[in-house]
Amino acid sequence: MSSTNSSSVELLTSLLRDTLRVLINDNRIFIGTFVGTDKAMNILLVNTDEFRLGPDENPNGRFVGQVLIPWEFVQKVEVQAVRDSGEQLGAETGAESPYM
Amino acid sequence: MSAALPGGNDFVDVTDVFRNAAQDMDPEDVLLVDGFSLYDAMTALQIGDPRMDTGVILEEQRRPPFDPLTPLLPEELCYILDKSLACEMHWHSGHTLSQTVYTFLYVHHYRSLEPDMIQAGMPKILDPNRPFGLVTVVLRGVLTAYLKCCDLVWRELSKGRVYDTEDCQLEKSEVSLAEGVPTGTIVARLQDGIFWLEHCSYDLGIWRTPLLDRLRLRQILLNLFRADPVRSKSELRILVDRARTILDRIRDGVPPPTPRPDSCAAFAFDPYVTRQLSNTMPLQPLALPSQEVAWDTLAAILDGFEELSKLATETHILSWRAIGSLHASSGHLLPAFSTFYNGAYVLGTIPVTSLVDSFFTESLGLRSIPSTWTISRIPDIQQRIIKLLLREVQSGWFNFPRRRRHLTNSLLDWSALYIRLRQFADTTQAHDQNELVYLRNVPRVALMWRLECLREIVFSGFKLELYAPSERPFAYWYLCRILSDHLFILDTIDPMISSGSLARQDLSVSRPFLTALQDMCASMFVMTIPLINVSPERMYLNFLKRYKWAFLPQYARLPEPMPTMPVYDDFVDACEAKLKDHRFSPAQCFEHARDLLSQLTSTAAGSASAWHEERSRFFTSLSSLSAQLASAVPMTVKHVPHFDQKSFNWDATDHRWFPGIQAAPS
Repeated sequence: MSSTNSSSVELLTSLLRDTLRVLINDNRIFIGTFVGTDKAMNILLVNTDEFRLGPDENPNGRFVGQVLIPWEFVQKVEVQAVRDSGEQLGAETGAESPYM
Repeated sequence: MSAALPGGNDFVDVTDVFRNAAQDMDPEDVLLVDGFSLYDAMTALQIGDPRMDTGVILEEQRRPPFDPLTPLLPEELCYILDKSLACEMHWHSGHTLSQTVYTFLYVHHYRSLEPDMIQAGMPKILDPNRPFGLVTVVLRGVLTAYLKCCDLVWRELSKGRVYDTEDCQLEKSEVSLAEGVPTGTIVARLQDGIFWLEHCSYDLGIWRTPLLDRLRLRQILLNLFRADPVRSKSELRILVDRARTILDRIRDGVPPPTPRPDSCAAFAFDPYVTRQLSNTMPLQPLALPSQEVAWDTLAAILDGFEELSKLATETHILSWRAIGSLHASSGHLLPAFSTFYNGAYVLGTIPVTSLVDSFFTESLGLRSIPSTWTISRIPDIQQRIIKLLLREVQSGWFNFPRRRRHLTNSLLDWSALYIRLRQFADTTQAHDQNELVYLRNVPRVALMWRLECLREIVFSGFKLELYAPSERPFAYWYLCRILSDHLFILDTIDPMISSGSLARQDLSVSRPFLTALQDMCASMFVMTIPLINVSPERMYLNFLKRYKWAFLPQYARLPEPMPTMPVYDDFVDACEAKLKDHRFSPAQCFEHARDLLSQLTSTAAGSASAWHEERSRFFTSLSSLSAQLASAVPMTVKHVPHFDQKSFNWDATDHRWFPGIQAAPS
């Protein structure tokens, strides 16, 4: 849906359908499938689990489904390096991962 | 990234990828995977928004980590036990576990009180005012019993005899209710707690007896929740008596003081715990009821158990219907159906097929059905009757709207049963004169049960405030028809009802009762005719909507028309005829009803059985209402148009079937 075709946007587009791990500023982590974003960098995840960092927190997290994470709360975004098929990111070019 | 992070180490930082792309994107640009629309995106929960994000913790909700092994003062433990019971009672009132029981944080830490875990969490300095045994023995015992009580109630509720998310909330949010801990183990742990309290050498001040009372009350609740009402009816009564004695003592005693805000007892309840639980919907924190309300709820539960013990002795299907009907009138809810039918047997031991014989013998007042009379052993008739009777009994403990829906849906089944019984009776050769009379009357049994349903459906419309003012005259006119047909059937079967039978006792009540209702409805029909202030077309459309069950296509497929169906044209004729009937006196109808009802308070118990007094109170209230209405409505029909309709009070909280009379302004 984007009208912009810069390489940075293409790189971001290539992350769609990948598993993201998003750390937000209240020490929660969301792990879900990345399905969308916008100019304001609101991150849309589906099939998301929520985890809290801390010794007494539930290590299994809790399922929260489809969430929209505003960028203002985001501290860090990570992508799972190994895709579900077992393919290593960047393996097709023999280069290092483009995100690193 | 640290290895401790959820998801593992196979993640690569892409924060800058987002930042860089954002700089290159136009404001209206949106990246979405194929097949995912903006509309889909709008359904996402927005993180950080307290209204949607159930996991967000606002600054004022932050609290220190909860340590379940913190030693407690005796009064603090007493406070915790009382408040946890308030949580439990709030769940019984229909709220979610997450908003009630789970706000009691020890629920999430009961494994921390296991002996293996305690060694690691032992306080270094022991405070004699805060004996560690209060936590490790007493609280541990009562906590697992608390969870098991919730588990036992959950199991009963999840049998499908009540309705999840309507009557109760069964979502466990992946929290354990000690399901795997055997009840025997829990009883022993609770006993350990009681023994510790009885024999410990610590000075527990005035709190030793209150704590013992609370543990013994929990012990009784555990035994009540796990008891089989049919097998343990006498035990139930003993347990209920003991629980009431302890409950009275607790309520009369000194309530535990509210703990200091920084104490472990104060932190033992977190209304915002839902943010950490898996819930299918966002849940707001609830304010717990006061402790007095919690004790009242517990007292009502004990009343319910006493009632269950009485119900478990009722073997007559007519009694179950009568009692259920009385409860439908009082709005009292009780999970009684499990007591009646456990999925295989009635009252634990009676084969469900025996309901069919009971249906005929009790309704017709027979002592037994001779073996040559085969109607109750025809498979399809058996199945129809069993299905109808089980649902009929169950619906006695439904709430009003659901009971009305159930009764309306059952009308067609009763009609089909009536037709089937007619067919059988018409095509069967009787062996003797008695069987001939029996065969003629068995279809009327189905008609009588159907008429009972019809009566309750139309009356419940008043209780549920379904009728617009212009619909009331039709409802009362139709009730007159229903009651008249019912009385006719009673007169018809009267000769075959044996003396001394339950049906004979019931007949001595139902005949004057139905006659009184008929008088009251006839009077109310005339009194409400002036309320018709809409066009005939509108009236007819309202009629079609309100009585839509009568226009189901299945009725047209029945081989013969059903009696006592609502017919609009008959109503219009009746309105015209009644207003011209100058011999009819609305006031005298109510006076007659009052006299009949006042005599009913001293009749035999019949099918009302142990609920005889409850039924008598109902007759008394209806009688006094008749007296009020008799003094308010005009003596003759010609004065009806001048009657001030505002004199009627249609507030359904006052009475369920008829209006009251407004109090004169002082």
